[in-house]
Amino acid sequence: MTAIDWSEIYKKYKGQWVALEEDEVTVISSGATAKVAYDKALKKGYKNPILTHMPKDLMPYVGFGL
Amino acid sequence: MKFKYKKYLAGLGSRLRPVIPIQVSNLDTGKSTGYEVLIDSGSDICVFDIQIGTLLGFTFGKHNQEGQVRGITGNPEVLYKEEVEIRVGGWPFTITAYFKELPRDVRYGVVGQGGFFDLFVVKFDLLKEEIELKPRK
Repeated sequence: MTAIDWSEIYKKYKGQWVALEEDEVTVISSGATAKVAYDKALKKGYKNPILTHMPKDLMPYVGFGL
Repeated sequence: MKFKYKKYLAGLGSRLRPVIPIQVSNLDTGKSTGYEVLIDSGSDICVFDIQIGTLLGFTFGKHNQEGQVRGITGNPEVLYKEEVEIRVGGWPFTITAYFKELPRDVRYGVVGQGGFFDLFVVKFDLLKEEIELKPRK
């Protein structure tokens, strides 16, 4: 089982929210906020998009700063 | 249940992260969305971006403010607490989730010990690029 490659999605949508189809690689819509991406997806007829945010910069992740 | 890791870069500097899709729902209204979350054994709790909470119809204020917590940066932050339903691989669970404005570069949700590792036995296999979840009975 190989990883899902988000490298192209990351390059194209850095710093944006994206709404994905169930396959987790097809981008339905994007936006500066989760709501914008989500609403655009609904307008396109997708009832249950998967939301995620592409980081602007991809720094190594160490723990989680709240 | 098996899920694939997510790869953020190809080749040198490749970042593989255990980020999986879940469904998050507002228990009162039923409004839900899919949301990618990082499985993080170093997190005590489940934390989702406040934009997801707003989209689900939650409002955030003193009524659900949970005080301050401190993370790895050392800076205290305010969290808002809500009971939500999450669906993982179709399996529904009611959990306590916390909402906050997540850092710009870490906006996928985080599922931690409380609300996730107490529900699943989690196996990370980086070389196979997969995560296996077994629901606890």
